[in-house]
Amino acid sequence: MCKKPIYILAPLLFLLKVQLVAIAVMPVYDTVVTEYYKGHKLSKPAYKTVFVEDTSPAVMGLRTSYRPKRVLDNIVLDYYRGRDLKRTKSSLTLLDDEAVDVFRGQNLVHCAYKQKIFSEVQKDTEVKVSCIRKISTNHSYYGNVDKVAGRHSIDIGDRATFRVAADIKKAGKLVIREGTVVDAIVGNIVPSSTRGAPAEVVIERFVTVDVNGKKVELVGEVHKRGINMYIPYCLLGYGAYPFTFGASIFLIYLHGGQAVIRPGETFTLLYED
Amino acid sequence: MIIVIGNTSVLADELHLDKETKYQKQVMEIGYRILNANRIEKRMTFHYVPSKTVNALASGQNKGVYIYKGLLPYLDNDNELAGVIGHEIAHNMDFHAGYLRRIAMTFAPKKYEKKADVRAVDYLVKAGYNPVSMIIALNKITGEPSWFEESSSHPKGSERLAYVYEYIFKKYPAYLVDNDYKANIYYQNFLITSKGDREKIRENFAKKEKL
Repeated sequence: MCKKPIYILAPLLFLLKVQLVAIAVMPVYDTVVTEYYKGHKLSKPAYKTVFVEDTSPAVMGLRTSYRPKRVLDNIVLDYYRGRDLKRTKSSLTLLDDEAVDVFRGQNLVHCAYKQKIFSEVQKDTEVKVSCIRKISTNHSYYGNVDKVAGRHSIDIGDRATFRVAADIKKAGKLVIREGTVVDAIVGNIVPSSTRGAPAEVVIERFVTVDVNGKKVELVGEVHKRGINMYIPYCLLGYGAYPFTFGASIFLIYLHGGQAVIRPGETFTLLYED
Repeated sequence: MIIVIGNTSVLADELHLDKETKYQKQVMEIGYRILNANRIEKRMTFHYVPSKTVNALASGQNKGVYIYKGLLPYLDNDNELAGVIGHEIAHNMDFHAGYLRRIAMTFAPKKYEKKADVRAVDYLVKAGYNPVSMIIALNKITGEPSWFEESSSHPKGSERLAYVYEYIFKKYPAYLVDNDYKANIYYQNFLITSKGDREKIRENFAKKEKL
């Protein structure tokens, strides 16, 4: 009874032994092949590769009178016989980006870069703005060029409206009145994606007017994200994997929540003098 | 004693520094210019890696941006290098948002790649670089995987080009109308290969204008 495991292992041990013998014999066999070529013992290698940089007949040891026969491509000659064989010059015609014609008549100015010097003491005043109209990425079509824009869709460059939530005072003096409308634009929309990634919306370029009717640009951006669904995705997708036999792989199509800014929601921006 | 005043690349020339040191200074100069111009209040560092790998990465661990030597032959000027650095800065901004965001980035990398691409366009414009250079850099670097795309961490090259173009088209059209890169061979190649996508963008835009 106690010898049974040895019988089971015997074929494996035999194979292992064959392997070991092969490994041991291989270098010897290799030496035999290299040293004896067709029964003759070789003192030098049978072939020697010589790299020559200059291939002129004198260097290569050829006769100078040697001229190789030129081989003609008869098929090509037959095909083009009697035809105009002038080489055509490559002319690069510049393509125009036809799509940008849509923007003709708009104010199109490049943004110039100016190095701004930041002072040590921050003089910015906080401005609280609240949303007037609901903004949602639910119907956005950005990033999906096949989709047609719907009536309620939002897009990059669309107008977003806010209002100042409280009076803004600077050094005891009223600068912006409460309830003043603040205009902004939708700066970026990142749609929700598979594996529970949420959608994101960025509102930027906030502009309002002060008590003197002067245009004021508020500094700051509003970033709003939807609900993250990747924790449920992880728990269900990976945790339940052994029990669902791979069926949970379809959970990769679980999308994250939409980014929504509801009316009355407040955000903090900065007013710079 | 050396007093450092003004442009660092000029200083590098005066000190007869080797090429790689100059690249390091160039990467830093562009990186910090983007950070300052966009008022990014997060710390990050910029590094040049003398490795032949064609790569650029943002490290979530130490919030560093790494530009590899192998990438430089693909980039012709500061604008294109700024495009790559801007993309990595956008990734770092997400890394700064915390561990949960970092997990989300692991699970849905394509979404965050897309976000970083378009965010880089904003960074470039505010820092005075031409955002069209982003299209040119992507056209040269990004591949076009043909099958089992789902497993890839990055979107397809043509898709990336389409949405970066769409973003510039909608937000910064000035750069397309008065285009400095019109005669650039890589941009011309983009115009040839992206004709269908650009037509769709224009049609959608026109439909939306009518609503």
